[in-house]
Amino acid sequence: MSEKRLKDVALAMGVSVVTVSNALSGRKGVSPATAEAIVDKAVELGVDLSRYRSRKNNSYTIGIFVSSRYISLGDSFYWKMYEKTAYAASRKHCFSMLEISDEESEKTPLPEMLRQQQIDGLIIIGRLQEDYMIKIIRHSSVPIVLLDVYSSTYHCSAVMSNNYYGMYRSTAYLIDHGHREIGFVGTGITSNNVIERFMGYRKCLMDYGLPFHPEYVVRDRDINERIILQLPDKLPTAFACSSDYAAQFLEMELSKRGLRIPDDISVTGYDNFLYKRAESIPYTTYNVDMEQMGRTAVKMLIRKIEGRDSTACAKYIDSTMIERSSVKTLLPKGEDHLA
Amino acid sequence: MRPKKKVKLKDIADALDVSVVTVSNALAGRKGVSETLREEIVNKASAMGYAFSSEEDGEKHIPKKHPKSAGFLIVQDSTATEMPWQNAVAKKALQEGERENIQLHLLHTSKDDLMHGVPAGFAEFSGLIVCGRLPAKLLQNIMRQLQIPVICCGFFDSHERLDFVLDDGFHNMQLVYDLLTQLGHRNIHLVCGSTDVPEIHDHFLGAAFQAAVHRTRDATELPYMPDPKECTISRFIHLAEEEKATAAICTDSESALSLIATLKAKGFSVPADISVTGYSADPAGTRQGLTEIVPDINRIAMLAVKLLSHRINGKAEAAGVWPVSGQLIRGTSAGPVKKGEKTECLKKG
Repeated sequence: MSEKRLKDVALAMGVSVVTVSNALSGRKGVSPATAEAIVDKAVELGVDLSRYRSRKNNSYTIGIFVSSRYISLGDSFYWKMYEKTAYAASRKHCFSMLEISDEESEKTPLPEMLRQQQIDGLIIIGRLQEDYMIKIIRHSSVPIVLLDVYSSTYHCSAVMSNNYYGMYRSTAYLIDHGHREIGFVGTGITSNNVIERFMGYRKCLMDYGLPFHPEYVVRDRDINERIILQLPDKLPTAFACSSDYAAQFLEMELSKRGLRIPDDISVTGYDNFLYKRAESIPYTTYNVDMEQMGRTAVKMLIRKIEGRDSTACAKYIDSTMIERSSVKTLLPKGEDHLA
Repeated sequence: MRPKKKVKLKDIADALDVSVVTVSNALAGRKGVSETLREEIVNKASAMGYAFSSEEDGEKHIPKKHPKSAGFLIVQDSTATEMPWQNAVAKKALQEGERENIQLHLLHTSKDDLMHGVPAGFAEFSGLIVCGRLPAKLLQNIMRQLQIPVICCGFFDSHERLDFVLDDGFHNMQLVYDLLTQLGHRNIHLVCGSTDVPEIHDHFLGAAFQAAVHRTRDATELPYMPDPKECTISRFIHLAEEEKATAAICTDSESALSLIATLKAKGFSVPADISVTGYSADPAGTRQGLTEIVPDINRIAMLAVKLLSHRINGKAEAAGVWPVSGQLIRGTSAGPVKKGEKTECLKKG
């Protein structure tokens, strides 16, 4: 009977039965996009997935918790992060449940899915109100892994973008293209991630022996996350931005002064997550590998659920620069640094 | 590399007219074979060129895949005479290599020698671990000439798409910052050594990051970006005399020791009056009772070998920087904040 079911999925998708079987049991040989589509179709047709999932690995229900502040936008960074994480969970034969918190629910004792004891483990994406975060971590009956947020006081494992070295790469890219006067765009109060990125920018200047100019540090938002970008009178030749989002507002401010990227000023971004705006320049940016982050978080959580890992540590996922067209080369490539 | 066909247990069994099981038992040192026969089988096996898996651990005779040969390059610094951390990483890596079926060959080379080209012996290697900073040009030379997976240990270079396994000097500062705040310290200052190297930059910026993070918890408003301020030893003494400092986080253990010496000369007692922490590159620590951070050499070595094995076997691609958490050595140079100290910044929540 189940053979027929697999065949139904195969016919509906126009792929072979073997491909469907591989996709459902999470084996290799199927592209992630196809596998995702096949799993979706199988669910739609009512195929009993549990028999494919429980064959080799144990199946768990993973709760994913995100603050509405970061996910309300239709195409937000954390929404994409959620998708990648949910997909990584399905590849590990786990079910995932999404709960979105808002200011009201952050007054309740614990997230609904924890209170209802529906989940085997929890992934929290991004910041929550400090007190609420600590409360959840302290009172949760299931293991927790944080994604893109970390503090040593939480005593909880986390998977992070490699903020420090990532921003170093973004800054070094500008230096390698002949820039010596480099500014930074980002606000530290809103996020430790941005402070880490700022420190990575500082490290790069220090390692290359370049002076730091405080006046070239531009904040992009205030404590309520309102955009308040103000350019200094004297501009550097390039800005390393703490996010692609910040780079966009920088671009807007620059255009008010009649300055264009990259002809008049060069810019690198961070995260490779462009908010879709037709008029925006394709930024050269440091990629945040959301897929790898989601996969690592799920893997880490499963280890904790199975009692194979009880440490509380942060894991930093590195990636690479994506070269686009927001940087102008000022000089022929200089001498090697630190030679 | 070796055109000769591999000698199998069956070949030995056929040559001596015994069963394969007997050969297996004899080579693995298991029971059921007389000593004379065992000797005969072992002699025959070596005569035929049988590849013994390491005889000592003898449990598994099942011939492993022929071990891959790889280089472990210690880059000799012209100024330093000893290489404590590199040697410690090498020792652990060699052990790990056995488990991963990689035979690591230890090589000491100076940057100057590498300038003249890659040593001929390197051509045999299917992978290379570089332990200690190499200038970008030399690294590029090696990569271009050898075309084999390279894992870098203990440094980072943004120009190359490689794996860099290194001590997480930036985040490790959390270890001393958390310790000192738990001990009640609020007036913590950052004392910098004179050496200007990337590792010290990590410690300096890491401490500044921790200061920013810790202050966030007490303050509602914070300058929009922290501005790390370094402090010299004499400046710190001045602050201590004015009772504006109760603890010093030093970017390296040498400056921690000289700070302690200066403090003692000025009549301060450590840690009763002032707490001091250091950061040692030497895995064994400076061993003078200093509370200090040391790199986790074992984990660095294990990770480097694991990544090399994955790369050689085509199981992974280079993934960039792998920061490895360090360890806190609880010496006697950090203690609870002196009672009666001004703690106006301390708000218990």
